[in-house]
Amino acid sequence: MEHQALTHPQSVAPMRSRRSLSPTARAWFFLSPSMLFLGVLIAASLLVLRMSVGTKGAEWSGFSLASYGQLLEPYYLKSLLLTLRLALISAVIAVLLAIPVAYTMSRLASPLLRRVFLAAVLLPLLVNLLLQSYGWLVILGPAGMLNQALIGLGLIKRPIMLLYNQNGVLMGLVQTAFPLAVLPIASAMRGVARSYEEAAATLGASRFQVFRQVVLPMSLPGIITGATLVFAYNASSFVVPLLLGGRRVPMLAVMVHDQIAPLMNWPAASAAGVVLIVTTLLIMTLSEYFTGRRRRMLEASQ
Amino acid sequence: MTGLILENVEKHYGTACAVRDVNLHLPEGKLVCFLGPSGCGKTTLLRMIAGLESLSGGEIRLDGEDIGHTPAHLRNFGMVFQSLALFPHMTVGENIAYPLKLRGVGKAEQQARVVELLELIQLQAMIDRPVAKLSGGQRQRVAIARAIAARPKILLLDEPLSALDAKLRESMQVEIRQLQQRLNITTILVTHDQREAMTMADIVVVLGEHRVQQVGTPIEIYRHPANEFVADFIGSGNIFPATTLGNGRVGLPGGDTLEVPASHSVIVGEKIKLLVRPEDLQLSSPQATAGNRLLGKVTFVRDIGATVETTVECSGVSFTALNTPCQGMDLGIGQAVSVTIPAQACRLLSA
Repeated sequence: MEHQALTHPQSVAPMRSRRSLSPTARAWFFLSPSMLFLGVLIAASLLVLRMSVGTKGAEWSGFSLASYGQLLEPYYLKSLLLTLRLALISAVIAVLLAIPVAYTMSRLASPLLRRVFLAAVLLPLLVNLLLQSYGWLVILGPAGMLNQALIGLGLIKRPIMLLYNQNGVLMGLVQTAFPLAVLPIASAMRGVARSYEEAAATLGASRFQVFRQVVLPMSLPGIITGATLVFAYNASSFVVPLLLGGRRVPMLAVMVHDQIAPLMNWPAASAAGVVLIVTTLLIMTLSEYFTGRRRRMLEASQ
Repeated sequence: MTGLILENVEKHYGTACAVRDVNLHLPEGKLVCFLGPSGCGKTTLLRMIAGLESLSGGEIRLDGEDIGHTPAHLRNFGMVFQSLALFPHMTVGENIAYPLKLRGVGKAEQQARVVELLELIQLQAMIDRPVAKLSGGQRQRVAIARAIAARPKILLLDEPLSALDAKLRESMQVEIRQLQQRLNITTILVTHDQREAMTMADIVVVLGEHRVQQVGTPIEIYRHPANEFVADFIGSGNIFPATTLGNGRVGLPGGDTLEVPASHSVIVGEKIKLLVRPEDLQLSSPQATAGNRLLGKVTFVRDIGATVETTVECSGVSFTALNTPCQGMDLGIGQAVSVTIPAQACRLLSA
């Protein structure tokens, strides 16, 4: 067939026309809706990039790096570092909490139980972020249920500040991003066949050693994915720091919002946004670089 | 008593029974094969010995000590899984060293043992390779090296060769058997492949319908099957109904009679099953029925090159005779032929 096609190209032409679309063309055709969507998103990002080097009042014509310079001021630098720190800590805590949950989930034998478990884990994604944050306010706020109960019991005189500080925000970040940590880890752990655990056991490993030396390292790619997802999700978190931090925890997304809503400073907001995206991408790339080898090694054997 | 002893071992899942009343003695240094069709409970039994399944009843004793409820990681048995389960996040050397590391063996000693084992399986150059880079046969050997690294008391093999192609499987059978004899390690092999069992085992335990059907050497199992299940499962056989007539004779459905080895436990008039192996049947040009020579008609010929299987119908039953091509008689379907069934080739099985 191929030989014929090379010497007599005209003989192939009718076949082509009957099929009308090459597989590549068909793939592009099916991809086009999502590509269109992505295209808009990329265009918007490019506009933000353009605005970030504009000046206030002349976002499209001016050119100045002043907005980036402004970000080097301690106030903004602190906000950036705070954002990265909270995103990182929340990722670590979320993953540590997710590992036992994911392991239990991956080893549930009953399909019904597994579905119930999955629904429970997914709940934070289904409930509006605002509602969740207000939920925390109702429970832990200064006039919330916990403080009232403690005061009622005479254990404390004045409400404890559980929210409106970094710990309160951190708790909110961990809780709202928890499913993003559990799902990839659970799916990675499900990929670790039972026989690996049994093999380790027959070789002399206790249950803890099996988990620590076989299950965990073999699901490391999923753990890294979970951590990266939580990190990226929380680095751009807006509702949680706004409601649970009450402007005392100025994460970058809150600052971006403040620059736009009351100040109308589009270049400053854009510059902050660009820095946030670039830093997040950089950290995700680093994590991929450091774990890629291990992941490919695990994938090659499956 | 030394060796591994199973006493009244049972396994139930709810009301379903997976293993029923197993009593076995596995002597030291022997290779014992659990042979049976799929779903007969052989893997469950092996997993109970390994400590991966709990016992529903009975006892497992090793050198007099009850180990039936010892957790798997304290039994010091090496096991090779059907999937091999080599750890993909470790190199070949790390895989083999893993059981040593768990036992707190020093780094230098670990290294020495790994090198020794790699020499044994002739994969010295592979020590730092990731497991994924090995071929099927190499993985097989690494899995065995890992299982024996900590000098286990018993080696358990759960259909370890089933993933290999036929040719490699045959050579690995010989290799594992030689290794086992060299190390003199008590080994249990689970398989559904009777050729594998015949090649490798000192003792074959035939399992069927969740219980032990027969225990014996491979030849005993083949030549003297204890019942119809074993006769049917091991090798190909002609099994057909017959009636005992006394005086060492049995009657066939078609009315002919055969001389069989005298058996004192047979009652006259009893319905029994008769087993004759295809290779014991002799075909000859048609002659009148006399003694153990019956007259029949060819109904099918299967010439597969190395052997010729001829199916002959006579006296109301179908026999298959196995010959080499040079013994062949060039028979065609429908031709008349005489079949001689030597008396000593007949095995009487209770129906």
